[in-house]
Amino acid sequence: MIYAVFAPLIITLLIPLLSKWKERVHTGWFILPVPILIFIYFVQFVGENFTPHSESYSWIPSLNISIDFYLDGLSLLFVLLISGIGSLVVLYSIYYLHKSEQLKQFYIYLYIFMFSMLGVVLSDNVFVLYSFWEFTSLSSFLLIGYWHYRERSRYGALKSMLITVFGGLSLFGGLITLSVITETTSIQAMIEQKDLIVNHSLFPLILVFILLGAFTKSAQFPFHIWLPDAMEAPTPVSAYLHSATMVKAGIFLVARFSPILGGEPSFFIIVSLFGIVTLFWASFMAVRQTDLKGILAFSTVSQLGMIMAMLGFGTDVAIFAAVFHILNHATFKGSLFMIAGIVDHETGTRDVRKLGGLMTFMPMSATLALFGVFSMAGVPLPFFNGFYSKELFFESAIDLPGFSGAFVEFLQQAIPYIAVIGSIFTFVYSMYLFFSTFRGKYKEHELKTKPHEAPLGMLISPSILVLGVILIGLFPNMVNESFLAHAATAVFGDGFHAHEVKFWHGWESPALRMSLIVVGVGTILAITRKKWTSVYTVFPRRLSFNELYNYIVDSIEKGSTKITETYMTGSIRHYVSYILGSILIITGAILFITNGVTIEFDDLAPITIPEILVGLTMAIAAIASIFTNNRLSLIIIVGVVGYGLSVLFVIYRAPDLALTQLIVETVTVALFLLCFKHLPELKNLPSHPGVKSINFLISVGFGVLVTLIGISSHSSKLFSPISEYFIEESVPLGGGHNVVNVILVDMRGLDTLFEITVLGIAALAIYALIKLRHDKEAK
Amino acid sequence: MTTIPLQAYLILALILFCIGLFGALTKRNTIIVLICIELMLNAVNLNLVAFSQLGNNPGITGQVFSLFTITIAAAEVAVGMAILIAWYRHKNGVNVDEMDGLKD
Amino acid sequence: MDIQTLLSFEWGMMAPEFTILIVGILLSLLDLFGKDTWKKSLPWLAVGGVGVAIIFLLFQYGHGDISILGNTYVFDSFAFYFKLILLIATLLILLMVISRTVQQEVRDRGEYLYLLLAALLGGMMVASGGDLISLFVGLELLSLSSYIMVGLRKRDVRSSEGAMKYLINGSIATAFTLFGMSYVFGLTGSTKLVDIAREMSGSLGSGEPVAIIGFIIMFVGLAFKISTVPFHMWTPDVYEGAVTPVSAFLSVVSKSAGFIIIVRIFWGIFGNATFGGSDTLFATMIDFIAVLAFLTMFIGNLVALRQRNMKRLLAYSSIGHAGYILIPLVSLTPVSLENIWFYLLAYAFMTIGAFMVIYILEQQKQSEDISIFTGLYRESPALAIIMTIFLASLAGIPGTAGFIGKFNIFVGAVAADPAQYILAGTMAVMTVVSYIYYFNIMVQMYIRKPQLEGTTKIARLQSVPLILCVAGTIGLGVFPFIALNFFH
Repeated sequence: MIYAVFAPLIITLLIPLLSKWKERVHTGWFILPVPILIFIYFVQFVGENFTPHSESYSWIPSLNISIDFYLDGLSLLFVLLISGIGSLVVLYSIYYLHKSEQLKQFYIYLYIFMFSMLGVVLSDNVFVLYSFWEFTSLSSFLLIGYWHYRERSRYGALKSMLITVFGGLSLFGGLITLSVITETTSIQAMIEQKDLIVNHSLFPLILVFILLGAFTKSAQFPFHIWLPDAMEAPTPVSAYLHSATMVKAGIFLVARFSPILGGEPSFFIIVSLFGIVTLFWASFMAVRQTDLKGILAFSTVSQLGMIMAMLGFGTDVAIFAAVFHILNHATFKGSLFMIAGIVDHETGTRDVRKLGGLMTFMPMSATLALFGVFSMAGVPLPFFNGFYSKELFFESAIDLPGFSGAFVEFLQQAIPYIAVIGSIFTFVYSMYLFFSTFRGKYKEHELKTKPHEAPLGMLISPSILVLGVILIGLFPNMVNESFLAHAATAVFGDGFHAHEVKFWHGWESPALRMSLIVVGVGTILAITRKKWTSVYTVFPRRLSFNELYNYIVDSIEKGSTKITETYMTGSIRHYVSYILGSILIITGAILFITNGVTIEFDDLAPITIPEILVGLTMAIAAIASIFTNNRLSLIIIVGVVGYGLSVLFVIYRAPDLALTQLIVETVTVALFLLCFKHLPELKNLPSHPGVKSINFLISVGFGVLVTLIGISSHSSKLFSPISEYFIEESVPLGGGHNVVNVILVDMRGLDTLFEITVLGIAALAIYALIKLRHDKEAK
Repeated sequence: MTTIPLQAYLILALILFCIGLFGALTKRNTIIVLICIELMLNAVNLNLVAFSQLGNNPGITGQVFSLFTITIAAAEVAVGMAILIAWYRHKNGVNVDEMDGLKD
Repeated sequence: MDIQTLLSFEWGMMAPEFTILIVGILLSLLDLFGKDTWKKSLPWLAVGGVGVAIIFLLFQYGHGDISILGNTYVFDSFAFYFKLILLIATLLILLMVISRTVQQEVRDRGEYLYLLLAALLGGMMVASGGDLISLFVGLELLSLSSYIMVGLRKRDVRSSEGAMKYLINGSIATAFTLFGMSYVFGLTGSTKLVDIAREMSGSLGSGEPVAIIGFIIMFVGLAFKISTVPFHMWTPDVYEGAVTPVSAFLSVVSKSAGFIIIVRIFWGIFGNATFGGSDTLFATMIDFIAVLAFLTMFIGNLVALRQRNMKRLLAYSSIGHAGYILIPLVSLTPVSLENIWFYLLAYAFMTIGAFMVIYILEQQKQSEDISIFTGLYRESPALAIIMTIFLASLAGIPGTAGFIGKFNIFVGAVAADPAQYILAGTMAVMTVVSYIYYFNIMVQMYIRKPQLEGTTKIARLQSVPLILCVAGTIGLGVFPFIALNFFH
């Protein structure tokens, strides 16, 4: 199994070589066998006696992460979709993309996507699943941006990436919480601990996080806004990622976690509500679209909403219908996308308003589209598979699970109606899509080229899909027991009983009545579509969620600008004031909270006069330094402070220190003098009194704070003095009587060595910096 | 000899530190800013030595620490001067407020 | 200390440091007095020196903890692992310096080299320092060398301005650190971390406020090095002013050294000090650091959004990353140290890689604006893909080192006791914000036409650090257990 998953990744490494090997041959041909082989490999598992398989490979043992592949009915359904539709899309792309395009990159991205999508549906380890999950977003980003340099593509690519990756992160949070609670990283092991999870106080959080991930990926309302913009991608990509596989990853996720999260009222409410609202809203919005792919995008969103809603219902009929519809949707929507691509390819436009009457030019495509569209609309004829799953949907919408609660009851009442209304709109846009493109008047002057039928190769893939539509329609139970039932069991649990799908339930069947209402009302609305335009556009674009997204992104950037302009003035003085101000606040607050300062003035002893004098001199000199603007006096003042310090050192019986201080002070003063020679006179620069007083406050506040601490520190004699180790040991150990010297050269030899390095570096660097003067003068 | 309480020195150190700080904040002339930083470092030295002599656990280590501090502070100021001169060559001025070419 | 005692120390443990020191001195001498013909091979000498130091260091793998000179120099596993990051990062940066194609300012080349080595030496000293004095001297060696490196770009006013800002901010930070150290010293009467920890392990009694203020002031002073709020404002200005390899150095080596010293001091000293009877002082101060971490992530990522200068953008992004690395510092789980180490290692590869790409483009296009990435995919697909890898890692996309790093930190924060949900949440939200600016670069690369015709070429020398960084980023992302097992 692991080979099957990694095969697409491995082949991407060969793509650059293959594309150079025989340049005349389209690269697609070389790599087409890969998904076909994967499909063949997995299709062998299909059968009534199918049992789940698992394989495990150790990866990051310390984090309890291993690559566990788990193949159950649900995974199998998705794996076959990914590899099957994948094969058809690659085949289609061979004719769709000309050799002159940058095929190499296109196929690399596509196969990376295929690899990561296979990983998503087969991983049992939640973190591995998440990794693959993010890869699908990334490759989707690259594929959306593959073709165009337009502003629109950039916007779309960034938007899809931000929304899906945001959702991914939320999913990640949910998965981490899950694994922390259950102490396992395996989904199957988590299912066994369902009671623990459901009763845990963090359960709502987990539910919201995971569903957020699923809803963003599967473009559920209100996160659906990224999908229409993702239509900038080449059509094979739209057919593959944005209809058949990637957007179904969210569906997969909800299905996969249904055994853990499902069966709860909260799960039912959230999932059904979002699903049904998405179904309604997206089908409503689809009607006003004029771009072929735009209609299909909103249609995809609404169909995903429908599947999501069914997963939310959670009854066995609903689950079976969901699984069934995943398969059906892939067939008819895949073919429709491909036809849309053909139309675009042959006419140069996808704008429905410019198209019309193409039936005569492209009869094959039109026929294929007819099947796709009618299946999507749910027309009750036995060769449209969409009808069956839609009828199962209606059936499950009437028979909802019996949770109690006011809101639940309201939902139970409302869902069947919303389902019907949503389906009516679905019918309307389906008809609009087909009839305005293929029937009606041919608008010659709108098109740049004269349309003609697509090359045969391009029609192969949609034909195969349409064949699937018809076959499933005619023999709806063909893959029921051997395939769909296993998938439904994986979602629903062991109690699942396979249903026989029937075309005719009798006139008494409420689902049939609902279907007939849909067809009836839908037909009327479709014919009179133009009259209702104002209704469809009643929601102005300004109020859409797109605008909300734009607003959020804009306001984050505005906030960023505001913060930046407020404090990043480029002025050091402002920087330093902010730093000190914040330190003052932090320290003050913490001391206040910890309630710490105690001050005692008990042990203040008398001070001798010389020391007072020295101290006072230093203080006065320091204060004077602020007010003077004369260079010479400034230097003198600094000198006074420095020399005063060395006098104090003498008083402290620290002669070495005093000496060092004396030398350093002298050198510093000399240095300042030297520099002043080169620098201009000091000017008395007026500064703003407000700024000055703020600075004053900061400094004094800081001073007071630290003074209090300092005084309080002495109020407590904490420790017994440690022994005067150095003084006692300096002669026997270091052979010297000057303790400081001994310490410096012996016990702190390394420190001294490195300090010398500091000085050496400083000297060299100053030389280097000053040297430029000469360089410049020499020039 | 140790008739002076530690607090007196700590307060002196604080005065120096605060003035240094105020200067570093307020002064526009970069050299004065450097001088003020020098003042602040002196305050630290005073602290260290005072603690070393009069603190809870008297010992010689404070003096040694100060020695390192003094030297390194001097090196820092010297480097500062060198950079300042390099900057002066571009700007013909030493006003801190003119240092706002880099911002955003 | 008699000769026997001196000789009894395992000086061999200092071999990496001494190698760097000797090579540094050699470089400075050769640069000052050597012939011009020799000077071309100077960079290789530096690379060789760092390489030899790495080999010496690797010999110490699994060596027991020892200390020399009365605990002032400690060679424990902590020092070993973090020194390794410093050395690897410096090696990559040296390779970056060598790869320079535009031969402007050739004269400073030697200076950059020995300054880099001196700064590295300071960082290694910090990693091994077991004494406040040693830590301080090491930190200053690092800082001073960095100030000068920033200011070395002679004819650019931005360079001098950046250096001046760096120096002033840095000196104030030094003053703070020292002030805090002086209080700790005053409280305990020792500068040795072991002694301080022992003295503080009892009840602090009324010394608590002093300990607190010492803690805060020291932390704030050291926050300068890792550029967290409130000491972060110098970062973008200085990164922009410095030449790109130096920016990379500041962003990786200097920042790592800052984290090293913070871990060393704060866990070492305050992790033992009891406070208010039960908790350790460090545990009491967690909220303080948590607030800083929150603000750092918030401001760093938010402000990065509107940056157009790539070096400023990376500066803000590095501020954001510093905020992430503060999280394990406060979650205090047994794996916190491991998480910090792994993140720093991952961060080194991806950041240096990103700076390297910028460096290549900057030399060819003479600009640092984000527009250098416009249409890069058409000009040089390889470079675009490489940059994508680094960006994905910085953003924390699975499969990259950055993801594993973030993952560890996130799990650590959630699993901590008490769980740091707010920090974990902030990290997640800010990660989403960071996607905006990282992906925006990707949009520039892939979905725009190049402004000029022509291709961007990667010179052979330039490919070396790029390949190493890619290997590190992907390798740690796909096989993180190699590094994690190595750490245990």
